[in-house]
Amino acid sequence: MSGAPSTDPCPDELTLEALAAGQGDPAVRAHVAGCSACSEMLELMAELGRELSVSPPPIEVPAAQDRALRAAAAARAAAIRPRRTGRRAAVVVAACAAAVLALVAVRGLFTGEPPHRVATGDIDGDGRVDVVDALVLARALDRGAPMPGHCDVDRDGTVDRADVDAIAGLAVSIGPRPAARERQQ
Amino acid sequence: MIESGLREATSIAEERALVDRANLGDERALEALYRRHRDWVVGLACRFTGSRDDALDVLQETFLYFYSKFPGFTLTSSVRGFLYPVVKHKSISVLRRRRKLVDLQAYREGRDAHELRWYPADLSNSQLSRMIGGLPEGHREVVWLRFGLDLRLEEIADALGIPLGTVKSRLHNALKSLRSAAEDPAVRKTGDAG
Repeated sequence: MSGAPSTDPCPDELTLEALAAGQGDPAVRAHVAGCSACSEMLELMAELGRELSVSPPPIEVPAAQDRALRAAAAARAAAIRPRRTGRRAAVVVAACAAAVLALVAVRGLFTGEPPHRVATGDIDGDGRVDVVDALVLARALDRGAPMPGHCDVDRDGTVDRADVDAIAGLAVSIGPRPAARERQQ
Repeated sequence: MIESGLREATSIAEERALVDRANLGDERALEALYRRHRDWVVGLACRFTGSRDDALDVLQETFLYFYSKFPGFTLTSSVRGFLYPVVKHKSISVLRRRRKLVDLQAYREGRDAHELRWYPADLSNSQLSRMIGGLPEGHREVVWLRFGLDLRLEEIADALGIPLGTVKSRLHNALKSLRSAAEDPAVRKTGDAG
């Protein structure tokens, strides 16, 4: 049949699209092999793929942010495991609230304004130390934002990646939730 | 062709298994879902926002939202089908915050200040790009999701929150329009000149 002009009605665009995606029955394939209109349509689809799949240069996620997001996954999973159904909903709601508060807080925290609270490690000022604090600090470091003193969690005199790791470690450690340590201004 | 279908089916089955385990509190499964889709999310966010910094913000917000869906996350088509609208909406929020100060100028010029730059700003000036740019917005997005992001029709329906039949009809009409435009001598001539 190949090369001979086809006399069957042409399949519609969706059938051809399915063929291009690796599906479609042999009868359709046989028709397309002998039909210039269908071949042109398939070529158009291939061209669309080439034109539209051009991606921007890959972005490397900063290591600290990557670690913090993985720690957030671990913390979420840990929150699911030991709970029973009755308490599970409360855990989810509390964690969601923490995330929302952190996202709101991050907008004002690193703009040079004094933080509302001065607890060491409580970067987003929500009254507790959790992985969201690690995320907020990681992003601020990546931006080169000025660092308030309460970000120096390991108290080595500088605010850096080690502080992100310290917060993440505190947040995912097993045992009672770490209380935010109050610090003298 | 059979191989690619098999790979796809395996990938979907793997993803479903990861979601099931993550729902039970398996941290390695949840982290695996993050690693599996991290680069896709950040690349998509970059296309939407046109900025590395904004894309990293969107990445963070998207995954915090995604994690919050566990336990009880139900996989409809694929994780990407779920993540696409989240990335899109988070990108709009980031752009809205970022551009709050220039809204007045945009308003005076009669522009939508929060319009995403995902398409066709980052496309070449080819004849095909102009033809795609001439499609209605809903059709253009379906074409981009299918051929640009390589999503299946079911995933597109999930991503856009529209029935599968609507996706099919938009894709059908879009391809038909593109074929007609490609056969139009006037369009061809413009393309040659460009």
